Amino acid sequence: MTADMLAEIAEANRPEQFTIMDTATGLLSASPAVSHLMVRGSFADGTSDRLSDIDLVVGVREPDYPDFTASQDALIRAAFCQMLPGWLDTIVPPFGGAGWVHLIQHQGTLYQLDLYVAPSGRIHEIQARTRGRIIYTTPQAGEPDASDAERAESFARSMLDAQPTAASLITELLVLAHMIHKRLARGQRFMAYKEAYQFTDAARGLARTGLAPRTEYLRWYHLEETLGETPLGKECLALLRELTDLPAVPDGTTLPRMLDIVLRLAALAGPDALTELQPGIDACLSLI
Amino acid sequence: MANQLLAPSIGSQVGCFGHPGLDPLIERVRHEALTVPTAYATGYGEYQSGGWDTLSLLNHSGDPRDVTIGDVDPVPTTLLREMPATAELIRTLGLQVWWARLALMKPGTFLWEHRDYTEPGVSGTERHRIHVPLVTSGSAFLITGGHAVHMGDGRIWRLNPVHVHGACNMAGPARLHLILDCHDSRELERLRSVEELPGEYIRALPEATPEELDRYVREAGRLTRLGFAQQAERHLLRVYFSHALPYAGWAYDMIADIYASQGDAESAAHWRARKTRTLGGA
Repeated sequence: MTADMLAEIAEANRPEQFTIMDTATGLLSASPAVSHLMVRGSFADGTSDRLSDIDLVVGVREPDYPDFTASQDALIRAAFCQMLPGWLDTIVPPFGGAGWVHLIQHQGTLYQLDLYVAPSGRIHEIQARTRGRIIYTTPQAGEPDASDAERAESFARSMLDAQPTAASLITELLVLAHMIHKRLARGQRFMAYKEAYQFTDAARGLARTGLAPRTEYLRWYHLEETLGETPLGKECLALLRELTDLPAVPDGTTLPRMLDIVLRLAALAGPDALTELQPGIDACLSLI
Repeated sequence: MANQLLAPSIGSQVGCFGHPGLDPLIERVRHEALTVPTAYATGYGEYQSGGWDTLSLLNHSGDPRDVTIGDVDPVPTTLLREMPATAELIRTLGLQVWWARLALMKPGTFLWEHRDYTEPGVSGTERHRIHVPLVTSGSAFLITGGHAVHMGDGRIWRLNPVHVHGACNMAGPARLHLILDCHDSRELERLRSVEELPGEYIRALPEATPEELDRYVREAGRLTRLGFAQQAERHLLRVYFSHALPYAGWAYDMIADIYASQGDAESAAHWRARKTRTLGGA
């Protein structure tokens, strides 16, 4: 009796990420293209908390890999309350596929759904490297054809090699803001530092992409010369200066300032993308 | 900017007016609407993505969970009896209301492209729908005539829902409106005489190019082939909310065509029939 009641209470307090995982696994396992589903990260390790992101690895049969990866954003948008288009994850280690970070709203809270789409043949290697837990396998999952496997991985590489756009960089900034918010809530100072740097770097990328997309200089090199020739560029540089002047380790008051600066920067360097993404940005800001 | 600057067809479909003097009462209605109702009822499943729920305040039976509207001699529901400020607001507006309800639209919800007042017994005389926004979301829009209209709070909105329209709350928070279906009347005419459609609430959707339309159809076909038929349907139905489309019911036709091209005649027929049911003779 006591155990049953405790189980009932535990079920009532089940972290909402499991509801999202249920929906995602139900959705993905219905596809004949999907051979495996694997949970990795803190949920697989048993170290999750109520802020944890949901890390799913989707094994996709090699012949279907290009179509599946090209469809994953539309799929998540149709199945969840997706706030912004998925951001092509540049943080996840290279596992032979490509990953996307989706910010989704569920029950009034913002969650991060990380979907790593891997060719089926890579799943066991990824499992070994990440200590992930496979939660779904199709009985027919077998060895892929070598040429299909090469085509799938080549398709994944081509996605990762694509140049970021203003829209993808604005999305990256919102994803990073969500991550930093989580780090601050958990008191993870070093991770907050690392992600704040990445945030600043993405802001720099947004200025370059919007105003000097064809420059031969990389990253922070010659930024003043490249952007500083026009009033618009000078304004962007001033905003980047404002951003880099903030403390390297953000706190609860720094994060809103960081967001305010990059949204002003986006209005200058990527106005069309900002307009397109504005409803999702506003909704994210109300939840971060 | 008043509605004379906009396409006349939009102005005849939707408009709004301020409610000077009613603010304190509406604030009490908001408090009631957020605190009194409990479980909302889901109706009109075919018209929506899920997430749009209502409770009736005036209907034929007095049961708030009877939510399929009809032109009736309305009686207050048990819910309205617990919401005196709301009853007072409905009385004060002085409209000939034949159905009243609270409508909750959760984040990520879509009321697909459709026409209203097609229910049995609801036809003939001129009717209008009044929306009183109680809680709104910056990503909640009414879509009609290739425009997105944000029904902002602080105003009362009129809609003529016999025209093709849809509604969405893309990213939340949850939107809560008091909705009154009413006959044309002298009081409504009086309100309409001061109606406007300020530019801050409306934006024209970009016209979808043939290439964009092809891309959406290709993406939906790909989703269907991958086993995600329902998501493919939604992918196409959602285009109505981001683009002005070449004609009413484009998404319904494209979904039917995809099923037909894949040899699924039954699903194709279902979507053609659904188009007729939800859009009528549009």
